[in-house]
Amino acid sequence: MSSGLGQATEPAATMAATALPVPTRPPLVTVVAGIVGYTRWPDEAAAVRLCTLGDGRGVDELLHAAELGTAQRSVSVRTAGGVHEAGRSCDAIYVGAIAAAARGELMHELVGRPVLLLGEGAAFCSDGGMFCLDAQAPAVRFQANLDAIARSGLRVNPMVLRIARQAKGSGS
Amino acid sequence: MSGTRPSMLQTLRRAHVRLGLAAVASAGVVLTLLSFLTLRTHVETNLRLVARSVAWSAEAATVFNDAGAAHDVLTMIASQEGLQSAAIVRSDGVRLASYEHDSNSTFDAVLVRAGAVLFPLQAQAPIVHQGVKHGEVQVQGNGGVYVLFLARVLGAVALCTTLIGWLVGRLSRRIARDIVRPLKKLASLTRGARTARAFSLRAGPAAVAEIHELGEDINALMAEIQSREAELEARHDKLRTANASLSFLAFHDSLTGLPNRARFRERVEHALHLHGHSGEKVAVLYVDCDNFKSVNDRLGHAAGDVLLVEMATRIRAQLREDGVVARLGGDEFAVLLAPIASVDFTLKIAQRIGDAIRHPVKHPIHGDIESSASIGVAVFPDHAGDLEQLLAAADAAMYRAKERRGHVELFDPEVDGGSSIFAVGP
Repeated sequence: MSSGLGQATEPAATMAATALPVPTRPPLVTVVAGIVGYTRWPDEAAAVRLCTLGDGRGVDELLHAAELGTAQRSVSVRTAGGVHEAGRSCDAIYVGAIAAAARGELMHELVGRPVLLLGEGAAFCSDGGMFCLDAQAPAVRFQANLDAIARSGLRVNPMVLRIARQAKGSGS
Repeated sequence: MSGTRPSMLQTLRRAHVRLGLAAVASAGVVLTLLSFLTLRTHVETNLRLVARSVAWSAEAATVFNDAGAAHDVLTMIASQEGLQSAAIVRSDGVRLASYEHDSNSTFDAVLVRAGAVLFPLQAQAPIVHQGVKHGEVQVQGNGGVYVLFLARVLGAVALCTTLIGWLVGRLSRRIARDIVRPLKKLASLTRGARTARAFSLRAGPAAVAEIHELGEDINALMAEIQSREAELEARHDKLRTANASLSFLAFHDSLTGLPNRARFRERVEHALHLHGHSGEKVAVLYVDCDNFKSVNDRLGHAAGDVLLVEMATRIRAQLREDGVVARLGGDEFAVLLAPIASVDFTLKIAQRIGDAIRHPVKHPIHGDIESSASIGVAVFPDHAGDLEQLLAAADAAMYRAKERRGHVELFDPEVDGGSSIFAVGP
């Protein structure tokens, strides 16, 4: 894997869309939707509740994207009320810019629970997060913390792991 | 055999060549078509599988819109599978990744181009994730495989044709050995029998049953003809012998074995013809036994016969090999001398004959039988112009000799009425 992740370029009008066309999204939203799409929860629900914590450009983009799911599984996006509330009532949490203390509390809260934890910056993965996105780069990259994923009880399609840079590696 | 007509070997060889080529052509066409269709099905299936494989492998890359990862997956699979070109196109029409085979040799390039022109191969596979079509994989196969296949088929057909040609050659040689050569032998055999009447020739054994049978039949026919021929020959020989003895009997005297009058006339005629032109002289002597009648009356016919046989022997003894003695009938003998050296010498011979006969003939029962002869001599062309005149002259001279018994007289026209004889001549 050489280059950075693909970013949405100008769509060409030639390609005919099928029944369900891929919506045009910002790169970060694409990546988050992809990770969610390739993740399976132990109690497979028809709808996935994605919550955001903190703020930042990524959080804004996610909240703007009304629907990240598909016909098979809908994904709703909302802002979580707080760390505890998020830990209890969300299937996936996108962590924006929040205080370090709150982040630690969140990690503690979610130990052993099947909640997909996405965040920004490589440090997020080393703190215990599962997927850490690098939104600063021209294209959106992400890393995966395989230990955290394994502990959580979630099943993530290996295809995602092939796309991801390993937590320790730098882009492989 | 006529030159325009093809020989048996040519006909058979032509038939074999046609048969072989037809077999190679039909088998080659059918097999080529079948294997081509099979190959195409396989190649198409394979291409679809490759497209699906790319779609599956590049699904996440497409979902995450990761051009780098998509390119890696596409390049790896496409180069391994020998694709001509391949592309991953997003649903919105953007080309996420593409691959193009770069030919590393001109031969390869030509092969690929020919394949692409002759057999355009394409396959698509959608990239679907959770019911959403994220994109499509488009692959183009390498048609070079068909070109190689066709080249191999052509090579195989050429090889088969060569093989067939070789086999036909071998077959022709065998047919020539087993069929054509024996048939030609039979033909020459019958031709020899017809032209040279060589009925003793026989056909040898042949490898092929029918030809062998034919040979046996011809042999049997030849044997039959040969025996018929031999029978005919034998009958012919017998007839010839009978004819010869008959003609001998017709021209010879049975008692003395000397030519008879008819034969003598022939010989004189021949001599006149032969020597008349060259101016040589021919003499005829008539010899008459003076006492034959009295011997016959006194001692019986058997003694007369002995006398005649002895006379014949004695006359014969006085002559050269080419002198002819004949018995004209009864006790009358004739001698032909042709050509003669002179009349005097001829008279001397006549005298010698007369002397020889004057010796008594020894008879086992009757003892010595006294005998004498009167001899008339005539010479051609001195006394006669033709056969009849010559014989008449000799006869006349002999009658004059008989008057004096035991004499030799030369024809004398004055005394023997030669004028009258000559008057008859030409």
